[in-house]
Amino acid sequence: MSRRLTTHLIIGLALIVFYALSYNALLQQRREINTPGHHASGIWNLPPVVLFALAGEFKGLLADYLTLEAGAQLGTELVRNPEGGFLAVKKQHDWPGIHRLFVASQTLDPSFAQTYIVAQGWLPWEADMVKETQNILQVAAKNRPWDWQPNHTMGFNTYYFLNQPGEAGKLFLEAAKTPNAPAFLPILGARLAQKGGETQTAIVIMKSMLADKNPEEPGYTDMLDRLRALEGVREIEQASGRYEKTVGRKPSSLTELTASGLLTAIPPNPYNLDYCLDTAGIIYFDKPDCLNPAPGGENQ
Amino acid sequence: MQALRNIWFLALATCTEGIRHRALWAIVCLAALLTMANLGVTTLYSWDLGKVSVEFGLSAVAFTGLLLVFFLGMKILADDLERSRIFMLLSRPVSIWHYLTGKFLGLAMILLLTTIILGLSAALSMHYVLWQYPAYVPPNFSWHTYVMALACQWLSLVVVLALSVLCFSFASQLFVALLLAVFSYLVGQNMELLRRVVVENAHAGVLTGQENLVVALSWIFPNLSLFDKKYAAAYGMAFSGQEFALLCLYGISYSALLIYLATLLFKRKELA
Repeated sequence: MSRRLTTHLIIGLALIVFYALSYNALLQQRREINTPGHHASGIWNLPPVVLFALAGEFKGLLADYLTLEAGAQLGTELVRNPEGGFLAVKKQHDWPGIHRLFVASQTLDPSFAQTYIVAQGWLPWEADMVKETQNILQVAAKNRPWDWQPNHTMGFNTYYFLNQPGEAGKLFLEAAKTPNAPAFLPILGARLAQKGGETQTAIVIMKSMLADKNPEEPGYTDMLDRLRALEGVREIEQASGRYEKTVGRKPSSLTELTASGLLTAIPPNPYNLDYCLDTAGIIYFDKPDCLNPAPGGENQ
Repeated sequence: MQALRNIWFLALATCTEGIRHRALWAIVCLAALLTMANLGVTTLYSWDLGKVSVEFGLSAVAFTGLLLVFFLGMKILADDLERSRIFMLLSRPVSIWHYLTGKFLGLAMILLLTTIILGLSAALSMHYVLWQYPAYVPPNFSWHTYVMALACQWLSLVVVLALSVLCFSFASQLFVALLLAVFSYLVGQNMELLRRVVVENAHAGVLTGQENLVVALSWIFPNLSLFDKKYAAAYGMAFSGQEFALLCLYGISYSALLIYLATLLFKRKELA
């Protein structure tokens, strides 16, 4: 073997060893700092205007990528088991970073369904970011006039997480206005709006929706029944208000209200149930035993 | 009449040269791969698959078109100078404006051909995705809007091509011309954003109070974002025929002006 070849071999070998050592050290260091922090930097941290400018005509494509990136950062992670195979481990999520990812994706493509659906699937449940999720859903609702789901989901969050049935009902009714929205939405919306003290709003929205509907359409009779029940509740509510003004307290029962003469008769209930007035003064059309609530929750 | 014949001859020759160029076929192969990737990429999503597919297909057309303009188009123009073919042409009864217009039209024809091929192949992959996942077809999706969006994409590329020809006409080196063309493309893509930020926003940083300057710039640089109809096509948002016609007029008039300017500047260029 010539001397020149030996020199080349030694230099080559030294370079390979140098490369292998440095790359291995880098991998080792990355493994050691394998925390959510390594996801914290990315194009999605840029201000929306800069992101918009950088994306140019490929905004939709970048939004698609960012949603995929969010998906990759969520869920569990597979790590190699020293004894062979893989182990699923729960990640420590960088929620503010993931939220920024969703916002960036939505800035680039405000109509993309994947963004708001994945955000809803994680942020309010795991990160306690209800307000942030509502903002994402609001943008989606504004930019997807054909889609009933953003308003419906906002209504769900308002009811479930924020405990505001009246507001939730209004959002359900808003969702119900969307073409091809399921028939249960106006019924459920009206129920929640009434529960939250928004009976008048629920009646107005139901009436406007019925005006645009064909009586032959499925769900029309159900909506009409719910409207009549709400009108009955409103009549009792108004009488109850007059009673409170006159007597100085809320009526303790419907019998007391009718006996006072302020309500001539209990209005008809399309569900063939008795109206019920609870201790807080809330009137129910579908819970005749509201003073003794049965376990197992409420019906729709 | 002779002028038109010259231009037509040059346009055809440029188009033929472009088709024979290996770079074109490499780019077309890349585009075919991107279109096939459409099928794979779409399945990574769980919602709005139709949107992802349409957006990906049209983006593939845009990306490939840009590669063609910046690399093939400018290379063809530079080759004429480097190989001194331009002298052979200009020694005949061919004026500089015949030459530049012919070259521009020939390259625009290559772009049209590529847009049609890529548009068709993207449409095939989209059709497959939309057929496979009918629940995710955008509610008002129409192929008519898709074709209009594709035409707008081509117009946008033609404007970028005219910009490149202008940059080529006065830049001393191909690299400088390429850099200027890419810069102008980026500015053009963000002209509408810049105009909106400055004109409709009281807190625009260093640009606050510079509305007139920005408006002036928006008349100088092309407003390329107006041609971007991927979003409309992806969500089935129809845009009017009137808007389409106005976009065509804007694209054609702006390109014509740029080619005219390029002719004036090219006359002053040191060719030897």
